[in-house]
Order: sequence, then structure tokens, then C-alpha cells
Amino acid sequence: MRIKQNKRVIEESELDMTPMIDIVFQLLIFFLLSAKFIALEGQLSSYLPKDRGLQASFSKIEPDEVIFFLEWVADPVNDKTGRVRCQTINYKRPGETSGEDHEFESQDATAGQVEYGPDRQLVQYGEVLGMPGYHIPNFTNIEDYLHFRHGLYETKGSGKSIPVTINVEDNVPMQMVANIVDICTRIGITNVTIAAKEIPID
Amino acid sequence: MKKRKSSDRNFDTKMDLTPMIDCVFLLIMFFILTTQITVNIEEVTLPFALEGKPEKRNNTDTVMLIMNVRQSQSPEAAARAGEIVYRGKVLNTKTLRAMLDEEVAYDAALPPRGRGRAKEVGPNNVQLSQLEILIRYDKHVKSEYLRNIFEQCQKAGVYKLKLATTQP
Repeated sequence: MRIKQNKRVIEESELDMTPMIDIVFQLLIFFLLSAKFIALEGQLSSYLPKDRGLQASFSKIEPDEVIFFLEWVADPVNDKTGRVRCQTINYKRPGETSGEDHEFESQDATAGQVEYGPDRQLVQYGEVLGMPGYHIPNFTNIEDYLHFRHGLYETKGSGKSIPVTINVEDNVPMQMVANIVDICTRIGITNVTIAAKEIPID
Repeated sequence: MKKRKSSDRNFDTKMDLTPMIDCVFLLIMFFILTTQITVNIEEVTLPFALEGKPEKRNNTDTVMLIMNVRQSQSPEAAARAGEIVYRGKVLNTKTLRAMLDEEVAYDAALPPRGRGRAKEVGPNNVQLSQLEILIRYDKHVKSEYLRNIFEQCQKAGVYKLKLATTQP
């Protein structure tokens, strides 16, 4: 009688949840890790210049190309902070008069210039020590401007996307470049080039 | 005696390996996943963007190098200084160029699959590579540290660039 009872107890205790819990934990860990891994980040597409030309590349610039210059203007009082200035300059082929293709005068930094506007935003890094904020350009204006140029380019019906080049000065935080590429992607401009220094052919 | 023997046998057969195998699998999976993260991916505060598209995994034609630019960790570094990390190693200009040349040569030697690895020649007869570079960078870092990458990439003939951003 005793032995029989013992057996029954053993049989009942064999119906345990351990393997199921093991597998559930395994699945849990897998999904936790993989979900974090995939959902972490997005990507913005852009290009680097294909040539390593010197000034030669300037003669090949398309007249419609939008060229941004991102510059760092240091604060005269506190040299750790400053503002990022964004300009566009529209190149024109030498000898060409301004036609309907050129809405903006060549070499003219004022037409189509985008400064940080009255609603400029101050980026604050309160939580990061030693990282004072800086003034950023008015990206709403940049977006409007790009929208305008993009529409103008589309009416010519080349079927391609308007070329946009971003020149960055050394001190500018890279977030600014990401912002402009972001705006271009939103408008539908796929031909974005980030220009490095003039690179000599070695 | 007989009864005892049979119970002993019962006890023997119950010593199974399942929990141990479970645990081993668990460890294997854990280490596979975590090492993949630590090899390619540095912890950086990525820049914010609204249009960052999640990475596409279905395109097997293009090879992508993942470069990380993190904030410099040496104490005497200036504010917003960066350093280039590739597969857990910090690169300087020389090693960066060597690495790029090696990868470009390796990629060019691969047999062509589809239209992905078509030969392309840019202006000035520069041989262009079909490699893609994904740059994961800290948003505070000054652009001069990325320009180093841009410069070396251009010299190596790499022109396809992806910038990592946060996902909206």
C-alpha cells in the first residue's frame, strides 16, 4: 500500500512545467534581443562625390544643383558655443546670362540664402556636461527653399532628382547634415551628395 | 530486493539531459546575439531624423561596411571629438585607408551577382566600388571626424553612403 502511494506521488510530480518555462524564457530572450537589434535605427541614403577632382569638379556643376554650405560661427564671448550658418550658392556657367533656368543669381549668397530665422531654436544639451548648446539654422526655411527648387527642377522633366550637395565645415556638428538629408528624403530628393574636402588624386 | 532494483532502474532513466541542453542552447543564443551587437555596433547617440528608413535586409547584392564614430573616450580629447571604430578597433587615417582598400579589393574580386556589382568608372577614370558604407555616428561629433572617412572613401572609390539615424 505504501509503495503504491509513493508511486502515485511520483507520477503526479512528473507533470512539471520546467521545459515549457525553459522554452518560454528562451523565446523571451530571443525576442528581447532581436527586437532591440532591429528596431534600433533607420538609415538615410546619400552619396559621396564620385571624382577626386580638384577645382575641375566646379566646372561640371549642373546649373540647377543646390549647394549648401554649413559653416560654424563661433560665439565671440564663449568659444565653446556658436551658431551654424547655412547658405546656398547657385553657380552659373561663365558667360551664361541669367535665363529662365536660373532663378537665383550666381555667386550671390543673398538670393536663396538661408539664415537662422527669428524662430531659431536653441539646442540644449543640459544633461551632457561640457556640451553647450548652439544655434541652428531655420530648417523650415530650408525645407521651403528645397521644395521650391525641387518643383522648379521637376517642371523641366528630366526624370531625375535635383542634385543637392552639402558642404560641411569642420566644426559643424553632424546632426545638421542629418537634418538636411532628412529634409531631402522627405521631399523626395534622392541625389544628395556630402562633399568632403577637395581631394587630390594620389 | 526485486522491487528495489526496479525502482533504481526507474531512477536511472530519469536522469535526462534536456535541462542541460536547454541551458546550453540558451547560452549559445545569448552569446551569438550579444557578440554580434558588440562587434559591429557601438553605443552612440544617433542623430534624430524623421525619414530614416529601417534597413533593408533583402538586398544581398550590396555589401555594407558598418563604421562607427563615437565620442572620443580619451580624457584629454576636446569637446565633440570623435574616433572611428570598426569591428571594435579604433582606426586612424592610415589603418582606415588600408582597411578600405582591402575591403574594396575583396568586394571587386567577388563574382558578380545580378546588377549589384557592375563595373563602374567615374570621372577622371576612377574605378568606383559598389560597396556601401553605413556610418553610425554620434550626433554631437564635429563633422571633421567624419570627413576623414569621406576623404578616404572617396580615395578608395566608395561613393555609396548611408547615415544611420534613430528610427522615428
